[in-house]
Amino acid sequence: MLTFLFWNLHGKPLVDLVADAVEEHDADIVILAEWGRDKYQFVDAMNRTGHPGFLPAPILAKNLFIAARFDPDFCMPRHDSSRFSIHSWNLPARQEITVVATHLPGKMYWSDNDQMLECTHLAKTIRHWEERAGHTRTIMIGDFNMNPFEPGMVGAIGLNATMARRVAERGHRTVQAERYPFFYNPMWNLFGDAAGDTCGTYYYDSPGHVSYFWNVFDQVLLRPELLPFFHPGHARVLTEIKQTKLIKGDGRPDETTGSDHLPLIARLSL
Amino acid sequence: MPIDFDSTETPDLWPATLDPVPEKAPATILKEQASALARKTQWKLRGSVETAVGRHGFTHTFQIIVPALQDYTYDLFVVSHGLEFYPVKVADGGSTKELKTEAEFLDWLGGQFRSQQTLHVIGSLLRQVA
Repeated sequence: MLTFLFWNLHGKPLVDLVADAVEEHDADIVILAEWGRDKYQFVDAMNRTGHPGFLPAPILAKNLFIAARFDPDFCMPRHDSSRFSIHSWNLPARQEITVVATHLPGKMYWSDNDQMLECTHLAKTIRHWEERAGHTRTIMIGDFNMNPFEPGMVGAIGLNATMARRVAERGHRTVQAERYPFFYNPMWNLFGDAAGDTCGTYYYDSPGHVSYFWNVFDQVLLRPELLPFFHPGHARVLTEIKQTKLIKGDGRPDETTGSDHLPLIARLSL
Repeated sequence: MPIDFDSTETPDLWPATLDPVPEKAPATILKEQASALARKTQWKLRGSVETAVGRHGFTHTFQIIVPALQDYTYDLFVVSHGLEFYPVKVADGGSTKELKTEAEFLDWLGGQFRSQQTLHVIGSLLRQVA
């Protein structure tokens, strides 16, 4: 089992809470956005748990912190920017996978069109590195600052991420004679109050006419080639870590104990 | 010369010469700097400019590529402009800044290349391939 933990910390000093999450969920690869502390504080705290061996991954993306419980020599960086990191993990006795970690610009500074165009660029870049790697065992995880239904996420020329596993299993779809590979987006299953105490990963009560209140900005996407290793329930939004509640009574993120985003766990049975 | 309306061929209505604007295109400046990076690092690092054309103009991503690391790529910054070269839009913290002239663009570019973040990235990459 390969377990990913992603959390946008909103600049909070949540070093111990991250380490507790790592221990509780047996995380192997930890990806943080807006972590706001020296990265070695996080690594040291993770290594004080019952699951030591964490080291920073050899990536240069300045807005993402990535550490893993593996020898950094197993990690091959492919492409870094201020918004994403693409790298491969070639772990012993496992097939190589490509990990795309991302923290895309928020809606405060970027329009919907900007976000859509950024996703187009990102999708093209991912396809380039998949062609170089010769496989599409790609998992993408992070804070997209978009909901799963937005054009950048679902558009064929964007990330082409569908809510339906069976649709994703077709592999690709063709639009205007161009083939676009699918991502599967299991986060649709975590939208709304049927899924548990919360309705998403981030709450924002917009003063405008349209407000979704709850958003699922923090997402994990998988290429069809990884779907045999992913089962329903392998993507979870955490509402507590050990005994610490991350949400208030109304289900919204509690910034006094955690971040304004809720953490995300994703597992692959690799 | 009067237009011969009996001719079957439409006369050339363009002026005698079509000169490019005297300003240097931002993409040209970026490509020159990409080449300079390669020369300065004895081709251990290669600069590259990836251009995308959209409805609102051109977007150029300045990339550092490391041939010895299977073409590992680092996107250093992104600039964009419309059909006119200037203003060039650049990211400035969380917002966008407009550079109105070539001189302003060159000044900003030099600042990017001299920044601690850029020098850290280049230093790290050079250590990897030393």
